[in-house]
Amino acid sequence: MSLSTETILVLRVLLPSYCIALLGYGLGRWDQSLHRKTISDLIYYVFSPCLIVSSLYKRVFNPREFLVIGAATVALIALMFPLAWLFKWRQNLSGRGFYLPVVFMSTGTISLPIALLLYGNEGLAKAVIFHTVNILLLYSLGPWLVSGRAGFGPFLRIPAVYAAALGILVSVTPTLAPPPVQELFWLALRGIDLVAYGAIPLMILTFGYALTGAERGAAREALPGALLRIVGGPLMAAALVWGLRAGGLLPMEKGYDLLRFLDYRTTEAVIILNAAMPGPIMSYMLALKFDADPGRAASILALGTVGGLVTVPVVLHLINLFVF
Amino acid sequence: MPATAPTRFWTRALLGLLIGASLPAKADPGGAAPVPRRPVAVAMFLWRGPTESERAFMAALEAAPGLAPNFTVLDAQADPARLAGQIRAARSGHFDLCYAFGTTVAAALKAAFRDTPIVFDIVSRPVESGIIADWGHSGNNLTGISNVVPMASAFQTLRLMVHFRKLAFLYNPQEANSRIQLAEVVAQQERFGFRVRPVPLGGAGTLAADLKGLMTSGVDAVLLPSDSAVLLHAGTILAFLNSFGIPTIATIPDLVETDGAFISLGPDYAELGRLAAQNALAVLSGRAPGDVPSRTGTALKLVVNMKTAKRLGVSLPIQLLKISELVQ
Repeated sequence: MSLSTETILVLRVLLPSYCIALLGYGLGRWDQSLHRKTISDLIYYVFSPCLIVSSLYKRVFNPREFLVIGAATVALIALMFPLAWLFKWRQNLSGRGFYLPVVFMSTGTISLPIALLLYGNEGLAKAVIFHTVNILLLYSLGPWLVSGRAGFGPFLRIPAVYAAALGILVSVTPTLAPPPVQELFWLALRGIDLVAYGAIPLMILTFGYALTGAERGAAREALPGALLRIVGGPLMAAALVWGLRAGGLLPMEKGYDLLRFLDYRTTEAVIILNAAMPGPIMSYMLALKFDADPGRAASILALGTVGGLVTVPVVLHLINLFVF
Repeated sequence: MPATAPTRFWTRALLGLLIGASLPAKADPGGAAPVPRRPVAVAMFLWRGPTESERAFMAALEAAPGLAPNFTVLDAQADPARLAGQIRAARSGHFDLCYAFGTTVAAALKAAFRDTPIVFDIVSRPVESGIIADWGHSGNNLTGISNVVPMASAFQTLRLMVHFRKLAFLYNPQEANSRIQLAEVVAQQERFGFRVRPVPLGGAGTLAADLKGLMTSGVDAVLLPSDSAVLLHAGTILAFLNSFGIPTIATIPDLVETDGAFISLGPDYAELGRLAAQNALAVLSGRAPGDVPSRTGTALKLVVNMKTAKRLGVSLPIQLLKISELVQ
């Protein structure tokens, strides 16, 4: 059986990522004494923001692209919420911990590396837009969903928001400063790039490490939620992409300039890829913080993550077949 | 009663006639009545040997019904003096149509021939370089096909894989078309956040010094426009740049396929040749060249040299792999 170049590329991207995650998992099984909070704080406050700045400053800011991807993120979250509510109601579940790992996606840890390695910097920059909107909603709506209380405090403390703003600012004002200042600026950006390079392996490693803490029980109860996330999500995204095409926001005509066509298709791939992601670790943290059934949230997360090892390659293969 | 010999003869003859009349006539490749093929003398003025475009142009004219084209190929071998001599010689003969490859040749033919129709091909900016007045109506005896590539798209193609801050632009300063492309690149640099370093190519004698100067300025990537000097020295330029691991973006697909440039965003030359042939046929059927609209191809294509990509250590994003033509 001969594999296509694209399949080989998907495997070449996914296999090293899985190996790093496995390494993280092995590390967690072998030694639980690592200070997980310190590592996750480093990612949250340093590595992830650097990755966001690094991916955004290298390209021209496109407000239309920002709007399309941002609106798609909002739509996917808004559409998933009533479905999650329906499932919760059908299963007669109590507590609010069910919502977050089903409604929101892990757009940072798994999706950003895949987007970069498969779709290049263009893919990463688009994935960053999706990620930024996703976490903005997670941090603002998340506490309300699990506790019923709203507040803008956590929203204003998200480093990724400031990183995205900085990245966009640099991309729209790249060469306005005099040459000596530009040189210094360039050096600073190179430093940010260097930290950004380290973000992806560290994210995957931490992700594998975090899996060791997941609860194995309550799989039957968690299964519908996990399936809704990793199977329902990409199906919903595919329908949304079809709607965006039909609405003329992502035109299918190749036209004279192939780059525009390529750009639209990359946007579609990133939307579907992100929608196929399991729930974010942060949803467990919020459930824990507000004591909103964290055990169930952890089970859905673990099951979704393990299931994602199978569904994400399938989704990537389908993207290759039907999007490009 | 047995038939006599003369009766059998006449019976067979009559049957033969009837059967013969009922059978379809043997297929004649030229049709039942041969259509006279009008002889047409076409002068093919080339700058540096034939490309896919000329091959497609000639094949399309040869396949056109009712025409018997006779091509006289005049290759200037990138020598302006040689081109001038060929034009002088051609003016003393009779040609129904002239084909011009590239801006330099098209401009020279425009100045030399006032009455003979000229079909130009692979002219990047025909309006801006003064070859024609307008895409719809040339205002002269020219019509043709452009290989224009939006410069912003060329940068974006390279940016899909490589981040660059200093971009060198190699060009022939004598060529109007190249100066126009350079102005477009310069106009985009603020928006895209890079600096352009124009590198005018003096000629074969100074090429080594030009390239050495390019290296000392520390450029991150090189843009090779649609330019006669670039085309002429492509082999030397690309061997040099590849040996130093400098990524190149070309707007001529041939440079990727034959000379090892990293990536190109450009039109399909065979398609341009076929379109040029359509314009030529319109002119040969009696339309004034000035009324035959000049056009571009229907779509640009991406060509990637995988060997060069490997040498540069660049991994291609999957979306690019899916829609590019890969040269192994």
